[in-house]
Amino acid sequence: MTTRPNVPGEPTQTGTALLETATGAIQSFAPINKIHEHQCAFHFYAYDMTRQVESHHFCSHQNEEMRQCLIYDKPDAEGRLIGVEYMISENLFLALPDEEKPLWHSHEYEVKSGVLFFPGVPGPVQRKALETVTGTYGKTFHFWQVDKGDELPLGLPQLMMSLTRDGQLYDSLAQDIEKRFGICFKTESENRAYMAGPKQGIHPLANGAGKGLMTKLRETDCKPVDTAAASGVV
Amino acid sequence: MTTESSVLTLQVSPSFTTLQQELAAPRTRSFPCRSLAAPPPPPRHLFQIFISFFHLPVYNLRPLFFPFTTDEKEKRKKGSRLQAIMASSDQPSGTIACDAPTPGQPLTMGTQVLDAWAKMMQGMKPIKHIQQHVCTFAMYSHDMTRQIETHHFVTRLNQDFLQCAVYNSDCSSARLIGVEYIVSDRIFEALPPEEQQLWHSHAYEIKAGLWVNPRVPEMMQKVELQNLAKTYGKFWCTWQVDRGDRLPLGAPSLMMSPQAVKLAMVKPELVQKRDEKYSVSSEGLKKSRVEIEEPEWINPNADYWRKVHKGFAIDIEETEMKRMAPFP
Repeated sequence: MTTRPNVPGEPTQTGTALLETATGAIQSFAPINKIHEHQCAFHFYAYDMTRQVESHHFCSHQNEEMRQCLIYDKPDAEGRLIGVEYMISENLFLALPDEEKPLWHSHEYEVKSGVLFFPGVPGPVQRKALETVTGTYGKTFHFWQVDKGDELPLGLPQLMMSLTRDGQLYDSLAQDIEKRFGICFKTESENRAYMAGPKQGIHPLANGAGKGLMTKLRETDCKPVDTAAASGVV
Repeated sequence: MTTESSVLTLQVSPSFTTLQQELAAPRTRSFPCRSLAAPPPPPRHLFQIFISFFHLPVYNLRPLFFPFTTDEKEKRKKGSRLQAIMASSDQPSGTIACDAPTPGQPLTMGTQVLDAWAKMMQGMKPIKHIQQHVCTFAMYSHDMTRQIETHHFVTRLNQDFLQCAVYNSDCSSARLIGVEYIVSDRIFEALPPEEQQLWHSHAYEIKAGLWVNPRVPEMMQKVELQNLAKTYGKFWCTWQVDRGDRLPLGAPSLMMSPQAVKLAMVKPELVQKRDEKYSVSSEGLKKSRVEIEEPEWINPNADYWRKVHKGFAIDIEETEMKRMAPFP
């Protein structure tokens, strides 16, 4: 289990904390109030399977076929927001352009192996919810490489992938999660054997089309190009 | 900075393909099916039998039990029939095309029941610590003419660090369009220069009255705004709703903040629209924020485009995956 460095900075001042408690009570948080589901799973970097990250997804439905998730490194008040994931049905995935598909990963193995689970939710309830997840595809970017020990979100967004077969997840990570959440992947996997993945099978272009994918930064012209007109200080 | 190299350039398809056409096309490819024939399902728990009555794929029974919100009324008028879902990369810029609904079937009653159960049973602690809503504006670092209204839902981790889930609106159907991190000047100065170039300053947008905490009296937030004026932000946008993308496509974009330079001034019509919605006046706030001190110094490595008139793009390249097991 990796240790957790503190985010650098002074403790929150009382005045600041009081103000934010007040704003929390006054303001509208409609998009946040729609977040209804906590899923725990593992991601690894799309170019490095050996770097695996425990990921706590807090998800809301845009509709029956699409979820959007905030990803935290821990499910507690000090959890660091490390990334986002979008989950779409097979129907929506199949309509994506072919050049987009490799950025998305399948969820079938994660669900059927028991590794993706809903902490705190009884088995029958979460299995019903997971029936709609097994056939979906996800697109995940992480912005904060906590597994490297980064105290701050440095560098570029990282495309992430998820588990697709046995033998990928480190035993130590699996055992640690099972112990902390009081679950057993093997038992849950047996309970989920009936679930079906994508109707058309896992698309060959998904999961990076089997290749590693890495983000790179490129300096580019900044529109508009007419700098004389654009640079006038107001 | 790296120059453009041969990359797997992931561009949005220039042609529209409707979902119906995609599904109607004869399947000439057989996709390797990784699922073996499933064993017969175990006897179903009573709860599962109960819930299955509510998984009606066509009808959304929610309106029978819950009142419509205005947002939902609009969605139902437009319907959930899937039309063309991909935007062309040459969509006119500067247009906020977020009215088109996200493609997909409406939520079934069964899913809504499950959602409610899950929410009751689960702690959701990180979400409960989101305590601020900020409305402001941002622009794409590679195209400053593309400007968007953003809604940040903010968690403070300590006095020097904030993390924000960014949406394109504050209604319940809002799309999650990215993440912004905000750090104090003290933390920013300790970053390496090449990292600093990915960040932007906040002083101008606060003093110009563009940064607003909707529904919070200005008096309440004066002290905090003084602190925030000295911060720097790093904002990755993962869903380009403004160019009409109905799903999140491509690589994340680096975003920049409004500045006191013509290139980075927010279009008046965007500000006006936002001000009318929240009954605020950016001009009025600008006057009342005159006493907020300018930071003594804004690090010139931030707001990179101001120095060199260049933006940044993210490419996604094929590479060898380091692995210790077969993939996929």
